[in-house]
Amino acid sequence: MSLISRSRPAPPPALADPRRPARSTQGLRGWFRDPRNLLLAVVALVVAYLAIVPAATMGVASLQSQFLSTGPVHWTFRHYTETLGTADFWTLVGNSFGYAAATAVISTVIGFGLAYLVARTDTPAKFFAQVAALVPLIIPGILNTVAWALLFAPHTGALNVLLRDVHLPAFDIYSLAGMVLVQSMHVTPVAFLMGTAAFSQMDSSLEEAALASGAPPLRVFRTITARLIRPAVLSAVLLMFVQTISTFEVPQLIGVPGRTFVFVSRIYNALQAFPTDYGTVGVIGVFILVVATLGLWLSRRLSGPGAGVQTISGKGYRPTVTELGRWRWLGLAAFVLFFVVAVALPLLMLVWSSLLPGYEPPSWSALHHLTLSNYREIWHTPGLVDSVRNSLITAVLAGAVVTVLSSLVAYITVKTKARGRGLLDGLATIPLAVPSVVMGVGILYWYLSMPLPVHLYGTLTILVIAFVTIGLPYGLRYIVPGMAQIKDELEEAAAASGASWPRTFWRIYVPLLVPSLAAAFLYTVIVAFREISAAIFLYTQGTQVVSVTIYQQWSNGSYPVVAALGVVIVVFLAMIVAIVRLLTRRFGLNRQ
Amino acid sequence: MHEVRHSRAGRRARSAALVGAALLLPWTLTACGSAGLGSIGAVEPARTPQALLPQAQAEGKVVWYTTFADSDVNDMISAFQKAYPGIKVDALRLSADKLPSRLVTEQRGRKYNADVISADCEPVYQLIKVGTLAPYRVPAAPPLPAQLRNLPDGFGNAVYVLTSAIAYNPDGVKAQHLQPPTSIEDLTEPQWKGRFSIDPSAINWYESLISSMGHTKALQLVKELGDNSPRLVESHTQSLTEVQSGEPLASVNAYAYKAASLARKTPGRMAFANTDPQPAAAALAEIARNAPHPSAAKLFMDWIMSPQGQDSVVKITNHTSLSPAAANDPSVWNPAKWKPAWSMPVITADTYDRYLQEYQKALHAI
Amino acid sequence: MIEVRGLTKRYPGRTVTRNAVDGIDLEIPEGKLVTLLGPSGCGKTTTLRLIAGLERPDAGEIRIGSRLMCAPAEGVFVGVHHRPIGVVFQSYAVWPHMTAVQNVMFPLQSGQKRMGRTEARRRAMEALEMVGLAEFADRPAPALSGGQQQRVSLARALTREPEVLLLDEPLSNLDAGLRDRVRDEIRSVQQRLGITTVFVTHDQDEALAVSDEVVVMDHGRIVERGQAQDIYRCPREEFTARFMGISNSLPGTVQEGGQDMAEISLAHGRLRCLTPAAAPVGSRVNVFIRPESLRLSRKDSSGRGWKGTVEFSIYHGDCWDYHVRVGDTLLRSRMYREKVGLAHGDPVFVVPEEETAIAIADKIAASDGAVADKDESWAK
Repeated sequence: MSLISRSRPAPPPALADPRRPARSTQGLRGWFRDPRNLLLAVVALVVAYLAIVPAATMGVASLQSQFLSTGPVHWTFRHYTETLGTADFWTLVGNSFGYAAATAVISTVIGFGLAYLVARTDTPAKFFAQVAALVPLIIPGILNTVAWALLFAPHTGALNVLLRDVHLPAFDIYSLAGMVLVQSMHVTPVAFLMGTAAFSQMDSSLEEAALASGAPPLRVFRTITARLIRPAVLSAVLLMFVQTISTFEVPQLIGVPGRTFVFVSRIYNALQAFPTDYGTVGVIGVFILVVATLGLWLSRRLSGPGAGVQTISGKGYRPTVTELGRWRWLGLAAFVLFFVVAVALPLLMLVWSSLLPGYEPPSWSALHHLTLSNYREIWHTPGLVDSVRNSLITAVLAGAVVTVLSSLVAYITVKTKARGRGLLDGLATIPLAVPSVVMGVGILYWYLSMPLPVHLYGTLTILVIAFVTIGLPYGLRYIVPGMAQIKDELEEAAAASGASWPRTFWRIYVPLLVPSLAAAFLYTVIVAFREISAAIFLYTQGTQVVSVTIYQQWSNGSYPVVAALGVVIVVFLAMIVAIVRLLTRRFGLNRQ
Repeated sequence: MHEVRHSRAGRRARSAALVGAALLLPWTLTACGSAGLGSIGAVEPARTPQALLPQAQAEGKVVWYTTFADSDVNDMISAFQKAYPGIKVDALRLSADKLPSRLVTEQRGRKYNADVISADCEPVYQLIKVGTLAPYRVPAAPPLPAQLRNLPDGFGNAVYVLTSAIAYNPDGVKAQHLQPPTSIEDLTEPQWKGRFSIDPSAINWYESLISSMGHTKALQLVKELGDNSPRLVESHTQSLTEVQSGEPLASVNAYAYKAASLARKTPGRMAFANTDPQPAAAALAEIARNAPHPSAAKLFMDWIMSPQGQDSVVKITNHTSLSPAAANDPSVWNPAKWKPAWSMPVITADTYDRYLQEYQKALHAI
Repeated sequence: MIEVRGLTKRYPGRTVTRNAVDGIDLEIPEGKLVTLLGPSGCGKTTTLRLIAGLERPDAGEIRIGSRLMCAPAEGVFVGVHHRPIGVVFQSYAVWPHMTAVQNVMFPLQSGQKRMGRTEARRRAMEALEMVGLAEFADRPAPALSGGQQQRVSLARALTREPEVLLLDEPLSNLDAGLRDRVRDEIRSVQQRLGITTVFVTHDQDEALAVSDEVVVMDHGRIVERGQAQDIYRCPREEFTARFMGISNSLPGTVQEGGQDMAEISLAHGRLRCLTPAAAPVGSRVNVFIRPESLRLSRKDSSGRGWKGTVEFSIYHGDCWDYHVRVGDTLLRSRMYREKVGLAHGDPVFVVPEEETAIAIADKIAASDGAVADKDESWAK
């Protein structure tokens, strides 16, 4: 026998190995020598920094007597007792939660439903569907809301007039239902992006097993597909909920007129006082953050350990497409319906408004007044070209940074067993719960006060930082499910083939994650163009962006001109979305 | 890959960094904090433009924080540069509610970016109070009305006047068999219930009411308006657009100059009625403290407050000027017919907040 | 050649009294294929992953070709991608976004010595030819069948001529017919290239088919090792015997001792058995008899037959398994015959073959208190 065999007799139950040396030789320094760990540590620090700045500012603001004032300040709980102690604050809570919950559920159901149609069935005209599903997100929030207000104005709204003509009850947009309608249409694309990311990367063998066991397709969907997709669904609901609570357009333009007040209304009131009551703003922000953190913890609990089942393996990766037969035209019809309601209607209203010198509701007589003068006037809008250029630069940069950061953070949370990874995921998600207004103030304050070697105030960089902070939680939500569905063995095989970790990441993970990466990139680009609440605190003479231009025009300019501007921006962004989709189609896994 | 030892060392590093950052942050936030911005300095005497010119040209540019409308700013800048070529104007457009906090935050962070500020008088006064502005006597400023003379010395530069009027949709009013409104009290009548809008953040309008009819009466009027189900609006563009669309039919505190220019474009759907007394608010222009280009700033101020500058203001923006030679829009400004009721910038911050609260409460806006 | 000393890996995070891998020593000679065989949970895959560097040991040393790969005591750990290895995974781990040849080219374009595209493709094509997949080179990986993917995986593991080839249950996911073909392929390639190989499996037939030597593992420890024929013919441990499928086991006592053989007295008679270890007379043993070594006949012509009754039978195509109750034991007999013609309830005589059964000392009955590893949780 050529093997040296010396099996040790069974040792006593104790585990201690007397030869165990001091671990210090292998400790911190050795750990950092691995480029992978160094990179991941840097990423973790960057994300923590980005997340903590606005959240901490919010906390400090809530505890200081007069944040950002010029006199002496001292620490106090006054803001908490004053705000949380009033009865009408809790009315606000009820309204806000009702509004946000309804929006979250509706937009997730629609978004994931549409995503299923695109990713897992043979619904025709997929490319159109994918672009169409994103367009509601592209329309600037203010204009989208105003368009709906004009469409459904209780007496003169174009759609209400039609409804009354066919003896149906009119719909009062200035109500909670109206708020939910508009906001749902607006955020469904976010749920759609998350849904496609999750669905299109599912290995269908699990569903096929169920089908083969004799379960009808509907039952398979209910019991198998729905369970597999559950973590993504819960994530989406939470995201929509928190986002809805923090955005201002619908509450201010539809809620206030209808006297449905939510958190954001209170924040806006506080901002109007002089000196600005940052204390109240901070308290509400902290409240939202606590709620969002609880929600995040809850959704984790309900999803089960790990962010999803690993269903992309190296073997037999063939996601099936359910053939709907005749029903696939119904799928297309669903898309068309969604497109008409969520996109075409407000867009048409915008176009209509942009073609009139002074606004009037749609009517035959109004057709005589149509003109292109507003479009000509746009070109004379000061700094339009500059603001578009600024938006483009900040959008692309922010998109790239978010994509890179989120994929690395997703790797840490999903693929490593590092102890702090739950905390990191939580940190990266915090910006979600910080209302954009607070984000803007927080970032502004920090970068003005911090003794940094570089002066970032007044540069495009500070805007990029804001957009990255806002977009990062979404990027994570798009990428984590994709990352989780890739089997560990694919990475191990690369390492065993001699590839260093960066090479493995670039050549194995990135190509497999292209749909998720594209979603994260696109979403951040759209955020950068649309984001106003934070940007309005951070722009200066040379760094005005498109969202600010639109806001200025809408505050005290000409409505038809800003409508024309909105139409131009929508077309521009739709082109970008289409281009990115085209590019990633070639590189994605689903070469359909 | 499952490497427990990695994770422990990594976790140590990460925890340390996080704790460090967390400790550093509040300290920095507060340490950088409470230095006061200082009080109002001594008034700069007026200088003639000629005396300022060489210095101004050396400085080369002036940074102007303004609430002027986007479309007007560039034209204003061109007008200035016609008079003084070679001095660039970098304009930062901000909305009235954002401008004060921006300036304060910047200065608190020791960033002195702005040279000239122009905004509504209420926020400007608060900025004066916290010491972010520097007083300067402009040589040819238009005379201030009596009610505004309590502005501190060196700060009384009314760059234009904003008046409010009742805007309404004449075709819509006729179609609903209503009479066009002529006074604010008209809109408290039952037939106008739910058919008009009001801006719940127009404190200057409320202050004008107070100064013309006294606090009690003004509050009562606002309460009656509030009980008549007004639609609340967020922006002036929005309120006038809605009137044009016919729903609601009227807006109580619309900007008259804006209503006037829209009325010219779409007379069937936009008309306005000035009330007597007419709520009026001045917009002030001031120099910022520690302005980076002081001479150019003074030159710009001199220009914009001069008859020529005011003439440009009226021509370009259609606002009203207090300059005696100004050719104001007679449909908007006629003190003989409509006596201006001025809003009162010189009040304490507490009073300001109190007025804001009771105004919004009366309108059921909070 | 691979050398492993005192390799230990704990279960992460739990305090149990066993380790995943418990202080094993192992030497894999140059050019040989050694199989780690055992039930699931025995530590064979963990050992393989430790050798590969996909996991870090808590103690011990691993050397590949006399280079130290890891030694926690000295803080040495060479990362996976620096080890001169090739790994074939159970689920093939073929990258779905690449074609077959791109998969095989990948190792050649990674690492310190990178090749240019043309050179790498040439070498990859050679590897694909070696496994018979040259015509599928440009097919996207997901379009290949399971067996083809596994062969791609093999080609990929070998393409940069590693010193060591590690295979983690490579045949488990293949269907039966394919399994044999791929298994033969692996063995033939391994012998042709003369590459040191570690093969992990839970299937003893596979182990016997491909191995030069077999290492049987259980609960993180090595139970027994030896050449395939020796392990099969005469396992030294009860665990091994049961795991190799020697399902019939009868208690007995040693009547006459000997060097390799002993006379054992069983309940139903006496039998001459192989003895892997010296068995003192009178000691208690368990006798393991392979089903193939139990012949059935209707008449007891030899006089040594044990009387029993047929309970049930299973047909395997090339053989019949009969379960016969003898006394209070149920014995399994395998007959390689077309027709046997026995039915449930038939009386039958069971005749054991001499000198093929294995007598292993009964540790529980032994009186010197050695720890009895009588854990019944063997998966097989």
